[in-house]
Amino acid sequence: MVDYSKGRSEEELEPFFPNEILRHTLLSFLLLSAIMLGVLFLPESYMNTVEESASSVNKIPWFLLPFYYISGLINHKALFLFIITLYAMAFISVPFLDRNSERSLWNKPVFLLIVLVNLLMILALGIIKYIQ
Amino acid sequence: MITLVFAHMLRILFKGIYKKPRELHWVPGATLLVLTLTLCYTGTLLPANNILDQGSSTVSTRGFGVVYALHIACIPLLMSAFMGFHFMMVRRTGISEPL
Repeated sequence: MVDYSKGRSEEELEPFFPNEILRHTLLSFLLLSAIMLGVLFLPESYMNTVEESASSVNKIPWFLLPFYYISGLINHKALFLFIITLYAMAFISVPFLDRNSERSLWNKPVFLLIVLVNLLMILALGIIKYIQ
Repeated sequence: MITLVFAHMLRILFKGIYKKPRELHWVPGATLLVLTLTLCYTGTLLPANNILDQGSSTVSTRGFGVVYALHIACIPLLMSAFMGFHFMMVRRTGISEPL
């Protein structure tokens, strides 16, 4: 097994758990507390933000347009969920599906084609839904 | 946020950074992207974002409880777990090159 700790400074080798996790959690709670205090004591300053977001809620976010288009095409809810889950599983398993030793995608024509076709398909589905 | 996450994913994909020994960087990272999209999707199904007429999905009273629970508890908890896993793997095997 490769020793990745070689040549690292002491600060870089600080344990992730509990040191870094604790700092991250404390900072997250501090930020949440600041927002909650703000809403409690300065509610007026948050009013405009609420009104602005309320006027844009009726729009589908751009990145969900392809999924809404596909769900419109497939009336069977379970089938839609099955296809989306299968697609997500394939996406998550990319490192295990691509066994080619070459790193750069530009040197793997078949895999490059699959990636480009998928990206173009998502883009096209999103544009079609937007036009609708 | 979605744009930045997508750009990060494309960089990793095109440069092949997900290859050994960083396969387990990709798995929680890709899962986080899927969970982020699911979180947004469940958010749009809730009554406050009244866009049900534009999609095929409809949420019943019972379904509302499920979607609400997924949106405010299940998905955020899963995201926290996968974020911890992602950061832990980055710490363990390091990034492939200086950013």
